[in-house]
Amino acid sequence: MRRELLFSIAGVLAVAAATATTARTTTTASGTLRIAITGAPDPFDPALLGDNRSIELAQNVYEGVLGVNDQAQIVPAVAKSYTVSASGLVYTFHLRRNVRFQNGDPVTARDFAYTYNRSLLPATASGTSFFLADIKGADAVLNGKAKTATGIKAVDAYTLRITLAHKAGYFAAEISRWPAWVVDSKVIAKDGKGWIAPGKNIGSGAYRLTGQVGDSQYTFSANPTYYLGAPSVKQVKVSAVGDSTAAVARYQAGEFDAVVGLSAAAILQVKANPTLRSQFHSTPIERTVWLAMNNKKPPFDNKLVRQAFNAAIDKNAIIKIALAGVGTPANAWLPPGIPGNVNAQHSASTYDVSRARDLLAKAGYPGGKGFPSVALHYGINYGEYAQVYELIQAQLQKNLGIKVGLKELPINAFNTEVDNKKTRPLLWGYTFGFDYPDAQELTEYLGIGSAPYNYEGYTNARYDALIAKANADSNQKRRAQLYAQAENIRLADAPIVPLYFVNQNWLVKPNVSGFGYSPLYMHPWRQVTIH
Amino acid sequence: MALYLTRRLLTLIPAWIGVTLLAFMFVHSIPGGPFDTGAVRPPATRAILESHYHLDRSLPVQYVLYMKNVVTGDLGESIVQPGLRVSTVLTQRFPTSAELGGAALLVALGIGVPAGLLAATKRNQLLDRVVMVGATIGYAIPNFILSILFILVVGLDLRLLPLGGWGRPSQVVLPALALGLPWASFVARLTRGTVIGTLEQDYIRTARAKGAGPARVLVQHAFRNALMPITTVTALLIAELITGSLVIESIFSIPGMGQYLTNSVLGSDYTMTLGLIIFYATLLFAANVVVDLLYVWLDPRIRY
Repeated sequence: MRRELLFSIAGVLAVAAATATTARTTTTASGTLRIAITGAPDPFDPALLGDNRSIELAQNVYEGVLGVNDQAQIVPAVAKSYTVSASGLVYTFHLRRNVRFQNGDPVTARDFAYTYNRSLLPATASGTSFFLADIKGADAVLNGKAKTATGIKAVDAYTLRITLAHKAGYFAAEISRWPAWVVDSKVIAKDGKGWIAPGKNIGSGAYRLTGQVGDSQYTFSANPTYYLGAPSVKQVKVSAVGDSTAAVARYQAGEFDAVVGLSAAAILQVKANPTLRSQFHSTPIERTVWLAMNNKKPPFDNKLVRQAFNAAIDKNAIIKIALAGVGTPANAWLPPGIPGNVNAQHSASTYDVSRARDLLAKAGYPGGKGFPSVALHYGINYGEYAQVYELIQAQLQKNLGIKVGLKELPINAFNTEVDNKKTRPLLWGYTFGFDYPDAQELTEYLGIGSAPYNYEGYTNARYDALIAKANADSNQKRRAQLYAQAENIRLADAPIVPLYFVNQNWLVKPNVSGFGYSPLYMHPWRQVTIH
Repeated sequence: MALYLTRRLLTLIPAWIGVTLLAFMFVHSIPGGPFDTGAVRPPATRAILESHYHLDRSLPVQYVLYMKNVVTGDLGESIVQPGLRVSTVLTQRFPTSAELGGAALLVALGIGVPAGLLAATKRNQLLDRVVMVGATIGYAIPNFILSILFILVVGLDLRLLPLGGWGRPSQVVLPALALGLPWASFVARLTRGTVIGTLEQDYIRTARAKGAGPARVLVQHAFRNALMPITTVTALLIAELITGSLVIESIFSIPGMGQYLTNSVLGSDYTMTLGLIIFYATLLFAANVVVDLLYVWLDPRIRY
């Protein structure tokens, strides 16, 4: 109900946007960047972060030994360099000596050791403590049997040595993320849970959270002592709004310099107005949306049926109609930007109706005759999802003669249904967004035969072996090749229909440069300048 | 009176416990728990989280553990947004919804009551017809349509008032009107009906016969009695308006309770949903007691 409602609202606002020719000129306070985001972010404790909108704000306040650059590559941050032992088990980080917390305390290896152990402790209840679970002794901390992991060692003030429990070529990617962003033990000891409040909150990043009104207005101030130099933009004001279509109208009225997280409805609104259109940007992020099929049950235990579905769905039409034209057709599972992705190799459209019909006939369902009744389940997630699945329903009917029902569920109810073997549907829409830029995350948790989220029930021993080999290797080039090999095996087995890679969409005023999105998150604000 | 109040408050205790129990059963019967958001995490991590929030215990044990904190005044912390205390959400968001709801209530009563009185005194005349047609239209237009009209005309075209946001008095006007006007129509119809009904009573004729002027009859004699149903409706309206409006808050980007409550229910944020429901239940219980006491003042025949 709410979705349709907001759609209709968006429609009216779109007309308004198109007709509003008297837009005021921007009156930006010099040095202040005003961003509108959709939805209120979580409290800024790095150990507890979970959703993207909170992470991309917090990444300006906190940093780890390593970071992720705009090309989603792992690069040194607080560490100026690091070495990996020949065994692939020992990571030694050499910290910069000029990094300080925003209260002036020096950032040392001991702070990192404290941070990692804190994120692992069950009392902290971090939902992403598993990013650090490959460290030797982390299990004991996670199980409450120890307070510190044996594999975390501050050799001296500026040398941090991490020993892994097993080989993990993806460890550098994991440790670049939020549970490993350094926090000041003295601040937490002093203020307890209240340490995340504005003003008390201390990180080592380029900005500091200095003000907050409710949970809808956040003020971040530049850290003048940041080790790479004070940022150009002195203040960033973030407004959490409920609906991006309304935010676009306020952007037009000059209230914001940038609006991020535009919904399909908001994009239509933007595209109807030439001024807005010229300030609109869109870039693929590392999130895949796919049509999942229950490989264990008929009719989808038949590879021919799965291949027929793959050939019968017109992804370009989905992007054009349901996603307001922004998105990248997915012909592979791993998105572009993740080492090992092979999407470009399969770039020729897989949409081929006559081939789809042949495959379905070969599978024993000529013209869709005798095809069992199937319902496509999906979670109410983003407004545009329902449209995606309505289009797929129409395409399967038209191209294969198959009638597919649709069932929409609240997202948590949907996930519970999919998670339970007894209630798992035959066909459902699913998505995965990367937390860190490494194929291990998707393949290990959703891909291999024993993966906890391998709901499709896809198993192939060769695939599993290649993934295991790639995960353990510490040579990044070789790892990428192994993942690519595995991905091609998987695609040939067609366990899913990859649909599209999601785009992040935003508006930004022409006098702001350096603002935008990398494949993972918003660019750090320290890269932004206002003219 | 004091005895009544004591008895009334005592009966509220089992009712309040009943509400907490029902709310607890309700939030736990929604399919999908707080960790079924689709976020990928190994089963071991999930187990740690469930144990941290006692979700691995039986429901009766969870209820007792939860209520132990509640009776000491601690509504706990969000499961879905860790680190966020329910009390923080209440102190941050409730004043916003209360402010918007209060302003909308002013609109509803401030426009509805005088319009209804006017219509009642000019019964079946042109003014009455105009007011009643206006009220019918006002009640028939959904508030989200009204919001959009306001945004388009007052906000974008005339640029008289801000399109949304919160914090400045000017930002209250449009959403309060959008939220309050349909209710103003309702109140106007109600006022007109009850005042007309009252004006036909014998004691009004007596008052007139004693020489009381039309204004005095209307305000002191008729309106005071007509206030009873209006008071009842106002109590219900307060509940309706201060719990926050999902639609209005979405359209005008107002950081109130409406969106928050909806999202916490959808996200199976048990502690957050329960905390908010318990807060509102307590508030509404209190509002009901106040209304009961108001009846005594309004109608001297009522004695407790």
